[in-house]
Amino acid sequence: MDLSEEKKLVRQAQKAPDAFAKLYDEYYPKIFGYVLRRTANLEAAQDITSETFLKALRKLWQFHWRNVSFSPWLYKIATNEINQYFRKAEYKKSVSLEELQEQGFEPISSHDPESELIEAQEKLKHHQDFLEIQVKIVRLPSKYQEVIALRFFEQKQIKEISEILGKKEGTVKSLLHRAVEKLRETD
Amino acid sequence: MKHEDFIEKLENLKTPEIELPGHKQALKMALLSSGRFKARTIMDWAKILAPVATAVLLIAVMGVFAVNTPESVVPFEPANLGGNQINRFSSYEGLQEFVKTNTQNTAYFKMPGLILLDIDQGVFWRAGAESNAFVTAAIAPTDYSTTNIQVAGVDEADIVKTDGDYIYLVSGQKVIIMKAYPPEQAQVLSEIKLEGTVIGIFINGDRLVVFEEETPYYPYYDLPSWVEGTYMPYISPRTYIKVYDVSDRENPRLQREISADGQYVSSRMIGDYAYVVINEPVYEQDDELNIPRIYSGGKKTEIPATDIYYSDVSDYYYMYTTIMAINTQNDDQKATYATMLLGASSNLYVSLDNIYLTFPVWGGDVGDFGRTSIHRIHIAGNNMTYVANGEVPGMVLNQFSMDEYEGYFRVATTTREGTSRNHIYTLDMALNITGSLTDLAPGETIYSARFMGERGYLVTFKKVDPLFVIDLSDPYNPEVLGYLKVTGYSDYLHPYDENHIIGIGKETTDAGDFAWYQGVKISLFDVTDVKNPQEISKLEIGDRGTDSPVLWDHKAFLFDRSRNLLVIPILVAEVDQSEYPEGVPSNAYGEPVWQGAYVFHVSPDVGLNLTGRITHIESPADLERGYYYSYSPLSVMRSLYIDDVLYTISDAKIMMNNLENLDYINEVELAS
Repeated sequence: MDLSEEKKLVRQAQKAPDAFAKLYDEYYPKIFGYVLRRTANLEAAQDITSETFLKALRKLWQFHWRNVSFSPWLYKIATNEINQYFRKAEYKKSVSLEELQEQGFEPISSHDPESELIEAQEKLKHHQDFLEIQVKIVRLPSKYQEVIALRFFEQKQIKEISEILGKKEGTVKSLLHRAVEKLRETD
Repeated sequence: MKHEDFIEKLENLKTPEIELPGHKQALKMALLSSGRFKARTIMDWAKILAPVATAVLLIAVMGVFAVNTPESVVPFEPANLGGNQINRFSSYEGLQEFVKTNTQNTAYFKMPGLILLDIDQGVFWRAGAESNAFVTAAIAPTDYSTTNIQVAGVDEADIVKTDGDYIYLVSGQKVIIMKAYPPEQAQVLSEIKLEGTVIGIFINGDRLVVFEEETPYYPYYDLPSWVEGTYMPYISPRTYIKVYDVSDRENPRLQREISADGQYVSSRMIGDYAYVVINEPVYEQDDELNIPRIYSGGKKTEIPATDIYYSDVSDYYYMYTTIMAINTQNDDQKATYATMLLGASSNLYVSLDNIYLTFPVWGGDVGDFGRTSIHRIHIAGNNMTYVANGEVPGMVLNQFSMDEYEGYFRVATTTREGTSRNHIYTLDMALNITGSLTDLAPGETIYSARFMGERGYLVTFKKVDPLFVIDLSDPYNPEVLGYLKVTGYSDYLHPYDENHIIGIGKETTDAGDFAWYQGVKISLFDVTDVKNPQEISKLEIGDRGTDSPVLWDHKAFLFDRSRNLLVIPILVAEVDQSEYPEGVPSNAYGEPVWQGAYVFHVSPDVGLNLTGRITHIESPADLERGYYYSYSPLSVMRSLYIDDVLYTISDAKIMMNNLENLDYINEVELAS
């Protein structure tokens, strides 16, 4: 999506559902992919992605107060959620899809969630090289996990990583250097 | 393995790209049907706050709601919308019943025991008009530009206005009045400090109208994470209309003030009357529905349910839409308001006689905005009459997708089910469809539209930009006359004259089944031969990442045909070629290298030519601050002219240059 279009959408999305829907369509695959590559767990990726967008939605109207752009802002929320997921034995969601559904809302979907999940799990198993290194990455402190994933899996520039993490570019660079070293040692 | 080799291994690692379309859809539906966009009884961000945080919130709220004391109280009364197209509730219970019945099939959230904060306990705070004693005799210039608007005679609020002598501008939480002409004597005369966000202003003779929105600050984002799961009360934002008497530009006096619960949607000024549209979500607290309130003269008045109108056009979610009309010149005339229970107004078009409100209508599937409902309210001074409603398939992009001409309403829409398709509908004044032109450019969506009398122009886009020329002379039979396919697209179309159109958008590069946006593109189209429109001139500025506020806000566009003048603020980004020794890929973003106003000479004879450019940014550090969403305070956002002087305006500065040769004349710093 073009920057100006996105900016327009972010402004509109504070009031208009169709604009929010467009932003969602644009960012869902990116955020879901990011969370999946961080966790290598499809269930967790669903939960964390849901939580990220719920938080984004309820914080969107105050977005203009934050001196960050939309994409890093979403990644920032997702990163915080991922860190929480790794910190706690049980990942606590404030509102889940199931809860929303219990309140009388039934999703109409042409996709069967169970078979979809099984199929995706099969696909995930085929990424052996990735899974091997992912297991090692999650053993690192989260500050290293973040920079490695954002740089190498999400292909983010240092500038954007610094926006997402709220750290100086120099800090990101040295974190990244150390993270690669740590990971190499375990490889 | 060496460090470098390990990096290479990481870079080349094949990572999973797996999607869960079912989850994607379910989450989307849950988000869109969550109360954020409809009956707002809810929601997570509007829940009850833990006691500790309540104190924080109280302080924040009190700080925000400061009140100025106006010279005179604005009396107000409900407008009688009349007609048989719309009904009034007979009682509060009737309203409650209606909302509950009509939202019962949707996700409907109830939060028991909300803590209500009395936001009226705000601190009183006197507006300080700081004056500057020095004034010189006015040398009245003859010619000055006005805000670029859609309909002649229907002014649109903006952050900058001029009357040819003075410039009035919004700068942060202030409105600044500046002596502007002659430029050598330019200086700030006074400042009006406000507490909320100034959305826009109008100037009408000696009256300055200010629209301000005060959004209660939720300390949500800054709270420690342990409070995040707790609840906060919902506090409505409030929209203010403030009318200042500026006959003494050094001492603006707040003359009238009226405000209402809800979010500012849009406003217009026709003759002496200013109109503002405000949206307030319907939500429920302890089984009670909220009722919007109007505040005037230190008193708050709940709008009685019996003064709230509703139409039977069913909707998925509800908003109170209030239109207020106020005479900017005559303080004795009562302000009027009309409150309707409708959807969330997404777009608004105003002709000299009518306000058209449009609402997305939810389709069978959540998130499917298949149709748009349109409501027409006739306006004459402070009288408002609800006349008609209608519906068309598809979604409306913006105000330029709509137009009223000789008793017919025209609208361009896009439907998105399956393959996107684009349509034009003509409707009579009862909002019945009389003619249509459907299924234009399947797979593409509308990027811009413009109606000019008996013709309409439409830009759709996916990979290339077809510019359609449409004949609307017969409202029963709109026809495509011709189209032109070029690369890139236009976000905004502006008539140069009846046979030439200026288009501003982005250049694009083909990338298979889609295209990458590149730099900003400005085109001049010749539509004299309607069957074969031509792009007779085009300029491309910068690389991918180049941006202009004109692409989403037509008010940043300055054009004058008699002078063949076109001025556009642009942020130029350039790709460093040396970073890509193997060739620059089409999706490479450039880094920002320049921001300021581009000044063009435009005419059908010689096309588009760059006259020169003006920037307020001197150091690269200031430019860095201007990248992406957070504009630098030195980013030029608007331009205007008075006689032969071009004024460029950023948050921090007004610069004056000679309009002919762009020679520097003077500048005024605006203290933040």
